[in-house]
Formats: sequence, structure tokens, C-alpha cells
Amino acid sequence: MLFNTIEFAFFLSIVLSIYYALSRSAQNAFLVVASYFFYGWWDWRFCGLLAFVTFLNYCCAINAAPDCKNRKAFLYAGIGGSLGALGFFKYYNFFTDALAELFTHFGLCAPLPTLRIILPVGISFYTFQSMAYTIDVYRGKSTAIRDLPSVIAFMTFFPCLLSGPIERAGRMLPQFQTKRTINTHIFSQGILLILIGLFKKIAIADALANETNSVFSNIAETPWPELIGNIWLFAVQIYSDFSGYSDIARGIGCLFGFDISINFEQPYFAANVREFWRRWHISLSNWLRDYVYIPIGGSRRGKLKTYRNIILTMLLCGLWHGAAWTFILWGALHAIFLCLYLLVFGNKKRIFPSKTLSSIAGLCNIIITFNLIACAWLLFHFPTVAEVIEYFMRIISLQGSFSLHGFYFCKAGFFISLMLLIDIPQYVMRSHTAMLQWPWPLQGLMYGMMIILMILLAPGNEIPFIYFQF
Amino acid sequence: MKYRSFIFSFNTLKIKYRLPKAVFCSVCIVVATEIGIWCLINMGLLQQDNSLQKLLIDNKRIIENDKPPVWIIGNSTLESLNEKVFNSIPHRFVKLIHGGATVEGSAALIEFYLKETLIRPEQVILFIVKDDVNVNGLGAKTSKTYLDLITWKKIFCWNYSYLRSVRHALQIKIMTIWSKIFIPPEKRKEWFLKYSPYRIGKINPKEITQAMMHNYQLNIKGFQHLSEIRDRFGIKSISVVFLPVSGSYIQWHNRLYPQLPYQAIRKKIRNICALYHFAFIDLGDPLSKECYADFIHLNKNCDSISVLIDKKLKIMFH
Repeated sequence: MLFNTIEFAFFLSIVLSIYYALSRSAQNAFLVVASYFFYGWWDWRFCGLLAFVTFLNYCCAINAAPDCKNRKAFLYAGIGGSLGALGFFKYYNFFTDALAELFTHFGLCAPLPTLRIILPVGISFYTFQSMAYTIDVYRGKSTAIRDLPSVIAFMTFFPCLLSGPIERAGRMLPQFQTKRTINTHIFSQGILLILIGLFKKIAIADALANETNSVFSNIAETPWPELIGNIWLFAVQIYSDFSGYSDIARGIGCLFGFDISINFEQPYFAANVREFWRRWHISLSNWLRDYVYIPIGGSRRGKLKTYRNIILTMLLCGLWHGAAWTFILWGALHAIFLCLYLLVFGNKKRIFPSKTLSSIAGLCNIIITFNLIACAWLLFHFPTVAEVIEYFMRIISLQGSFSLHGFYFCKAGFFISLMLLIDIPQYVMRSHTAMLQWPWPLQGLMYGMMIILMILLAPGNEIPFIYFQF
Repeated sequence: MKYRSFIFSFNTLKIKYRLPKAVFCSVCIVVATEIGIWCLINMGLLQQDNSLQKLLIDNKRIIENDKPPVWIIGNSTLESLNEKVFNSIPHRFVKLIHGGATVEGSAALIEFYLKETLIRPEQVILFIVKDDVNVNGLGAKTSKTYLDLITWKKIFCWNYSYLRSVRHALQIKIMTIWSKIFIPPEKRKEWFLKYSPYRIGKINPKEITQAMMHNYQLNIKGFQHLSEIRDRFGIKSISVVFLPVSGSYIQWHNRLYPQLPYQAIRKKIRNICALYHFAFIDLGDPLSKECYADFIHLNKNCDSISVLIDKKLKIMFH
């Protein structure tokens, strides 16, 4: 049940109608049922896994509270159980294959058999969210809640279940425990966020998917200017796809009376890679910062150890995205970018330059950063590093002629400008629902245009969200 | 009652039920655009794109108007045949082409036309190739779309929007203007082929393996369905014409699926047709290279196969 399908529209309207009629305590229990139904729609067999991870962390968190005995054991049980499930379903075959390769290299037999494991959708997201709750309770940053429906509803809340944002108990759980009120402003915000998300997904990401795929599947015969353009378009596609999902999730959250955290802050306007990571998939960046980077030392123990910590965190970030060497290399590449930035510019506190877009130097920084990040995204598309290298070799060898590409770049420019049409107002007005502050004729024109473009540009086939595979 | 009031509350929503002006404005813009496009279509300035839904509606209309006693049905492999040489068919016939439809898909579509038109043909001739009985191939996926359309599982159809139905026509218009300004006349054809919304992606071995032959498994449900349709709707006879694919494609198939080689599939289809009492015209031996436009589709200029089919049909009809 994708967010941009008619099935989901039916599901959401039924769930919302019932939800509004219920009292607070019943609302949470109902949300649990709705979330399990939503998850079971993908594959009902994995509802058991979801129940295991969430109940385990619920129990462990209660026993890991500061006043409990053996609380460390429960902390480890919570983390171990969550990581065990994640490791088995997502990484088992990757590590057994890697081990088998290593053993065969030395002329030995593979130690473990390869299994046919289906990757449960959203496992990386809900395991991280559930695990963080146990850790937060252990650290005393969050209180252990005994109200089972509230905790399970928080861990399995269906808008965030499959692709985040990875919410924190300290921010989100209190919202599940208090009475929700939805007024006109919150409702309008929710609808606008859903519209923006659908626009990004349907009119930009999905429409681009066919364009980029046709180039990726025919690299040998694509001229080099289009290969370069395709790198940019894939970057726009992956951003629109993921941020579109997050916007829809936030919008749905508003309709239910929840304030879901912002996951993207116009990341391609980042003037450096460090800033990019404060704007891209913010909930994951913060998670890695709080539960990996800082616990292993952060930037407190000298420069060398800081570099080591950055590399370890980014490698883990790559591995989180997928069980493949390309993802690990992607993480390593970003680690190199971050270390180089730290080496050259030091640990400057000013993260968001105030007038980045208005200065030429700022614009140059943005363009350079965007290109570095866009090139790294190729590792997300190709299953092997060799194919990525081949892609770049085709560009370097200047294959094909430069003529007749005006139309292609015009098309590419059109899609990039659609992305900017949403991002620039949000960036300038520092609000994701900036459009609500515009005069009504301008708002009407914008919404009408977005709907028209969605109707015109939607592809005929269903394209799942890219981040579902993670 | 106490329990009821504990569960139900109705206190969550505090919104004023007033339609914001901006929403009203945006709805007006969309409706105005739809009306504008409808006017352009009716004035003949824009043409609606081809779509699966339009195809089904058009075919239905043809059957209702012509009431042909013979239905020739198949997918893109049938399109390349020249039906003008089919002189041996003693009745009027209609060629119903559904791109990508498998045997199962074609059977479902025949049933759809039978139910929708209330017209009963005397004879149905189904043209197939070896990939039309693959349960996992590209054809199976396309057939699912047909099935979704005819069973209304695909509830929301973009093509009910006039704007949606002219999207390719609009792109062609933009491209025509662009090419007149920027593209030299001698390169326009090549340029159009490259960027046309109707372009068919270049077929390469990788794509074929992934799409047509993907996880090849024989599916005989379609034949069973055809047999049921024949009995239920009183169709006199159903014939199956097995068309040849290129030699290189057959070799390739055999390399990939040694447990189910081409000849075994051919034999199985023949046996299934015998089981259900379908006339089977076996043209499965590959033709010379020049007769093919690609691995599967016959060359439109190659009439020899159409003439051969006509000869076989002659035997069948007389």
C-alpha cells in the first residue's frame, strides 16, 4: 500500500474517520491495529517480527529505567534483540557471502549456508526507533511508559513505519499520551504537506524514474553530456522520492494530531557536505550522532580520533542503507568528504550560512557540494562498483557527440526547476508550509499547477519509494 | 452506555468547515484546464493518446458495429502479420491486438468482449509465441494490467482526465516546435525517435532475459479458461496459431532453461491444445533472419509467413 495509491487513500480516510470518533485511550489502541493492518498489507508474515521488536523494547525499557535492578542486562537485551533481528534479516546473507568468499580465497569451505531471506520492509527504521527508546530510558532521557498501547502506537505509527522519520521517544511519546486537538491550521498544514509530498513523488521522482532508468540501462549508447545530466537527475529523483515520503508522513501525522519531526531541510542547498548531513535524513543523522558518534568519543579526543569516529559512523551509515559493498563505499566516500572538510575548514560552528544563496561564493559552494553528493548517489543505483567506474569512464572518454542534447537538458532543467519551485520558498521562509502564508490567489495558482503537473507527469506504472529497500 | 462514552469522544476535530479560497481557486484552475483541453480535443486541435483503456473501448465498439464472426486475437507478434492475405477465411474477421497479452490475458479479454458486447463469434483464432505461456514474464505483468482494468481493480484511472489523455500529444507538439527551431531538418527523424514518448526502448539481451523470459514457467491456465469460454458462450471452435521466434532467441532460451527447452514448450502446447480440442497450427520452426524485426516480432515486409498461415487456415476452414 504505497502512499500514492487509491488503496491507501481509502485506508487513510477510513482510519481517520474512526480515529476522530474515538477517545484518546481508544485512539492509541486503534492506531496500533491500523498500523499492523498497514504493515500486514505488505506481508502479514512480518507482523510477528514487528511485534517481537516492539514488545521486546517495551519490556526492556520498563526494566532498564534508572531505578531498576539489572537494568544494563535489559538494555543489552533490547539492543541485542533489535540488532539481532535486523542483522539476521538484512545482513545475514551479506556477511555469509563475504565470509564464503574469504574462505574460498584460502581454499576452505564456506562456514555458513546462504539462506533465502526476504527483507522485511521498513525493518531498519522501526528497529532503530524501538532500540532508541530503550537506550533513552536507560540514559534517563526518557521515562519508561507502562501504557502499552501508547508505546506500541509510537513504535509502529504507520506513517513513519516504512521509511521514517526515525522518531525519538522524548519528543514523540508525550504526544501519544496527551489529548490531541486538530484545528483548521494543523489540518491545512497536513493537507499541504501531503500535496507537496505527492507532488515530489509523482510529478518529480516517478516521472524522472523512467528517464534515469532508460539512461542507466543503456549507458553504452548514451552520449556523455546525457550521462552527466543523468547524475543530476538521479540526485533530484532520490531526494524528491524520499523527502516526498517524509512530507506525506508528516502531513498524515498532522491529520492525526501529531507533530512528526522534519527529516529534510532543502539538502541540496547545503554549502558543504557537513551541512548536507544536517539537512539530509535528519532523523538518521541525529540517531547516528547520538547513539554511535558521541558514545565512541565524538570530537572530544583529538583530531585523529575524530576522523576515526567520523569514518566509523559513516561506514555504519552506509551499511544501514543496504547490505552491499556499494553502500559501504558510499559511506566511506562521505566520510572522506567530511574528514577533508574538517581538515581544511576546522570545526566551525556556523553551519547554515545566512546568505548562502545570495552570494556568488555561496552558490559555487552549493554547486560543488551538490555535484559531489550527486556523483556518490550512483553507488545507490548500481549493484557493483565496477558499473559505477564504467559509468564515469564513459563520461571521461567523451563518448558520443554533443549535438542534439538541448531538448534533454531542457527536460532536465524543467525537473530541477520543479524541485526548486518547492525548495526555494521553503528555504527562504524557513518553513515547510511557507505557501500557507502566501495570498490566496497565489496559493490557489500554485496548488492548481501542482495538481495539473501531477496529472500530466505521473507515469503509467507504480514505482515504489526508493528508501523502502533500506 | 458508560463503556460507549469511554471509547467514543468526537473531541479531536476542532476545524471550521469552511472551504479555503485557495482550495476553491485551485479546483477552478484544474476544472478550467480540463474544459479547455476538452474543447481543444473536440475542435480537433489535440488528439487523445492511445491507452489500454481506449484500446479496449475501441475494440468493443468495432465488435459491436461490425459483428464479425471470426475474431483474430493476439499481442504485438500478431500486429506484424499482414491480414490482407488471409483470403481463406470465409467470413468477416476482426484483428484484436493487445500488446503484451499472454494466453491467460487474451482469454480474459475474450470473455470481457463476450460479456460486454453480447456478440458471439463462430470462431476465435489465437496467435501466440512461446513467451505467452510464461507465468512470470513481462507479458504476465501487462496481462495483469488488462485484468485489473476489466475487473475494475484499477479503480482510479488517470485517463478519465482529458488533460491526462493528451499528455503525449502535448509533448509531441512541444517537440515539433522545438525541432523546427533547433534541430536541422536532416536530423529531425533521428531526434524524434530518440525523445518521442512513443519510443520503444532498444531491445538488448539483458532486457529480454529480464523481461520476456524472466523465471520461465509454463502456465496452462489460459487454455483451460479458453475451453471454458468456448463451452459457456457457445463458440464453435478455437484455434491456436503458434508463431515462430528467431533461431538465436530459441538458442538463448535453451541455454537459460535447459530443463524446459523450446521444443518441449512447443510439444506441451500442442498436447494442451489436443486436450482441449483446439485446432493447433504449428509454425514454430524459426524463419530466416530477414523475416524478423527483432528477436520475437516478425518483419512487417515479410509476407511469406502470412501466406503460410493463410494456407494452413485454408485447410482448417475447408
